[in-house]
Amino acid sequence: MSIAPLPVRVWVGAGFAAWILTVGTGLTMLWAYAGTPGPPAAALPAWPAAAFARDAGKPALVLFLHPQCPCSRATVSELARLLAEVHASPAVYALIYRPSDAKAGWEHTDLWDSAAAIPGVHVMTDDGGTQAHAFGAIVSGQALLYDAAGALQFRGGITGARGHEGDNPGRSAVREFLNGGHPSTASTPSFGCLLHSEPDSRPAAALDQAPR
Amino acid sequence: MTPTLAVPSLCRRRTDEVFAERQQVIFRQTDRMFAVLMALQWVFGIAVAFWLSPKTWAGPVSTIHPHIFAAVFLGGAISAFPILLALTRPGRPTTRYAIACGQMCTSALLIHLTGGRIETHFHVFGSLAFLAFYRDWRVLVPATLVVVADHFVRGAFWPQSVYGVATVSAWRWAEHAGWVVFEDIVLVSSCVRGTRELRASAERTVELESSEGDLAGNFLTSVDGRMLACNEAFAKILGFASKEDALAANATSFYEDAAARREYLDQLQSSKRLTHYESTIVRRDGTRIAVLENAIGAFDEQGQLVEIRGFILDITARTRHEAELGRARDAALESARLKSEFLANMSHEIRTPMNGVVGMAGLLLDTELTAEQREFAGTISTSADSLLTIINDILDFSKVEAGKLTFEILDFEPGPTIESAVDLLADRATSKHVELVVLVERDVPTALRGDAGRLRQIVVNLVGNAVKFTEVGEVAVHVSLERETASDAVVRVEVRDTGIGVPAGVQALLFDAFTQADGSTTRKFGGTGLGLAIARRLVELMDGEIGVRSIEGQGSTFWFTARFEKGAAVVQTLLAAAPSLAGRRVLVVDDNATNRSILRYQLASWGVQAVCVSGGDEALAALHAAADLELRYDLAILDCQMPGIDGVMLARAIKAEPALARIPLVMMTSLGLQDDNELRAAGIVMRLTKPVKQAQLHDLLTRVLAATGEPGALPVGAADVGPVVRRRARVLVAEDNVINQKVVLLQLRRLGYSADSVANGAEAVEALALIAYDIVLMDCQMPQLDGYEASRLIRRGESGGTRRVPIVAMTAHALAGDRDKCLEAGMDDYLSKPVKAADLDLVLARWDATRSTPPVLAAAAS
Repeated sequence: MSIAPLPVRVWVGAGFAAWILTVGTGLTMLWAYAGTPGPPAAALPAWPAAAFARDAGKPALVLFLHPQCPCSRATVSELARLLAEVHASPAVYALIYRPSDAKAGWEHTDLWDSAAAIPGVHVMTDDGGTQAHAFGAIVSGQALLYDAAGALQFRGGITGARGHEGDNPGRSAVREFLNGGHPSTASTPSFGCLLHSEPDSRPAAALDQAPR
Repeated sequence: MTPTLAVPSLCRRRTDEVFAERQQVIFRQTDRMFAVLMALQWVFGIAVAFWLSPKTWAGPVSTIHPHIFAAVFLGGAISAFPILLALTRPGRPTTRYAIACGQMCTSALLIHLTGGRIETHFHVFGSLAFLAFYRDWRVLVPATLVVVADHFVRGAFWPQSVYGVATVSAWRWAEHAGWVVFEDIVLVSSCVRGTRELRASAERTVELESSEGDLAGNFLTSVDGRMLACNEAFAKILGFASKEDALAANATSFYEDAAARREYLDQLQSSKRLTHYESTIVRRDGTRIAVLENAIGAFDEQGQLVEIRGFILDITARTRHEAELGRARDAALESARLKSEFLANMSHEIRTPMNGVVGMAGLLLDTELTAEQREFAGTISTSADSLLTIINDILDFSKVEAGKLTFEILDFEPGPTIESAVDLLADRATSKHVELVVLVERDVPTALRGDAGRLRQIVVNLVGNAVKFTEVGEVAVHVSLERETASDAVVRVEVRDTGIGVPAGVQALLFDAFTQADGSTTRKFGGTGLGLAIARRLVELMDGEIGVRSIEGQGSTFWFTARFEKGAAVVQTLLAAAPSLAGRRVLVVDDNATNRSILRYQLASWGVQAVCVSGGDEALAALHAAADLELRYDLAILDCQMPGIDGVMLARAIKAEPALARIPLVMMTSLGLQDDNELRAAGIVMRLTKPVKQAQLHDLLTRVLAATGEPGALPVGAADVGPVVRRRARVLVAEDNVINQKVVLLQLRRLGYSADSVANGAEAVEALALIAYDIVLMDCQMPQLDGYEASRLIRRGESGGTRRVPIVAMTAHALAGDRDKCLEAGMDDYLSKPVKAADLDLVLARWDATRSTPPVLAAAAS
């Protein structure tokens, strides 16, 4: 007994539904990826002794960046926006990661240029990621805010999602502190590429003080 | 109970149709536009991903960024389904809804790939604006829903990616929603306005359709004739005072009878629509009008015709005009026919007394006259001949115009036929000292089937013109085979002259009636300007072409082709190389190069070795040289008219030398230009009359160079060299074909007979009443009065005791039944056409000898 073929419109409807499902799944996965942060920075309460010398007597904002990370472009844009909004003049350091065996200039990408173009930002090479290691920074885009005495006030990202510019709690917290207030949050997720190929290579001191 | 049909407005339904058609066009065009746009966006997204985020890093190690996979695969998935629908189902609602959803998903993807840049958000608003191209506000609904779903889902799970904070206050959500709603309101308004304008345009189109200057009567009827809708023009055409009156009528009453209505409905049922359907309908007042109708049927689910919609145009005036045009055309044709008939009648009325003038002038010239009287009589005869020629041309032309030209299809030999036609002009050419030559190539078939008389007519016309317009030099006729198949042959005839030529601007007009090169041509050369027009028509009827190449002041070449069937009869191969001719040596002496080359060609085709020289000195030198080498010339052909040493002087010189005296000598001369006694005295054994004909030349060679191989002593006074015996009998030739007339007259003249000609049986009867001709040569097939009937009339006229004139039939049909028919009609003998001179001589000699004795029925000529 032969089965009558289904009308075309039934096939079209089924195709439409399958298509919506496929696209919806894809977009959801994309959004999930965009909203998935990297591992948080180590919670060191003070300026690490092994870190580079800072300008004493003023707050310091240290930003760790992987020069090739596409998501960190948004972080640099947020940094520029942030510094334009604060009244104080903190010491701002942008540490650009460079592998220890990389050629000189490897870290000089558009990200370096963007960061260097922001007034008041000191851009430095973090050779081999030693400074990131010392501070316990793991993800590109992670920011650490210290007060004038060197106490950690904020750690985390200053973007709301991977590569996503716009209002976000991290930028708000840093702005609040630098404008003389209290940060509304002490930490936020960081969205960016890993600064180390082995993400759990945090400094021993950080490991000791990591929340259990 | 059958539901009654709603009575829709004719215009509203048509407006809906036009609106829907136009809307579909917009949908399809916009679908195609989006198909291209989405493909471009997909490629753009991939490019953006490669540019902004090609890799993701972990320290020094990199891998392909997930954005690349998203751009390629997710972007492809977003674009593929809408593009597929746009290509396979353009214009459908599902297509544009899929496009709407896909376009907004593309916005989401691009925003993500570009890191949420504010500028990329413009793609959302731009996409919504593009979707308004559909002019369908419903398309904006799924697009807006996709944007809402995107914000809702992300706002629920990743609020900071949308609003920048983890918790969202209501006003932030409203702000986002508000912007989208704002744009939607603007675009929906635009779509509604666009739709309204589209519908208004459709209404205007329908108004134009239905108005058509108030000429087209639109209607909508049911299949049983109920008027469902119509316009004022329809009512007016049918003779109703108003549209309402027309709607009250039944359409079946507009037809002459039920059968007409039935036929109309059947055609619509089968072909679904009628276009340019012409019919007669009955108006309200009973008058009938012719209408042109376009109609489309509407059918139910069973395929039965239920409604008919269309329009009619009153074409009564047009039909009347067409009828008038037809009558005018018929009147013009009748007028042309009457003119031709008038011409034919007038030509007959003119020719009958002219025949009398010609006949009497001929009789007068046969009497003893003083020189002055002879000159006057000669002028009368020549002038009458010229006038008769003009009348014959006009009559022929009128036959051509009336399409009454008849062809007599018989087997004939093309070479001799054309040579005999050229022969007719030999005297005229000789009198002007113009060389006239003819060459028939050996590959021309010897037997064809067609009208030899008409072929002669064309050749005589062209050669006659060539001789007329050439004062010095030559006229050469060249006959060749253009192409052939198993059953047909196309013969090409070229007539080349060294005459005055034709100006380039006139050449194209030459073959038009009444056209000559210019007005002075008529004054100087005479002529009616009809000859070439007649020739062209004859050539066309022979499936050929005619044309001219000419350089003014240098000469012209008139050419024509004609197609004939190949003859079934095997014509005697007069021209085949006889064994006795092969290897013979002949010396040709002629100052005319064309003549030399023609003779060389003809002699070579028979295996004869021809040596051609241009004058007496060269001839003597060639003869001496051959004698020195003990080579012998079997024959020498000398041209009579040569500059310096002419033919007669050369003949004397040859005969004076013992080493050369035995060579037989033949003289080429024009008829009447040389005294045969003088030729004989100079040692000439035979005379060749120019233009030299192949059969004549072959016959001469065969006779001179006998089979014994020795140039035997020919009897002096062999056939061609001798006085023309003057006969006393006077012959009347009744033949409707002018050229055939001329050929027979020439043959008779050469046989020594005096002859006159008439064009049909009636003129023959009248001529006999006037002049007592001794013998009548009667063509059997003639217009007005054929030979049979004319013979009966002549015999009836003789029943009163007048002498019986012998009548010899000239008939194409030589069957026994035809012979009996000739004898039964009162004819005494017959000749088969084409008439050969030898047969003519035999028959005339027979009847000439019996003139003084009571006539008896002679045995049939073979």
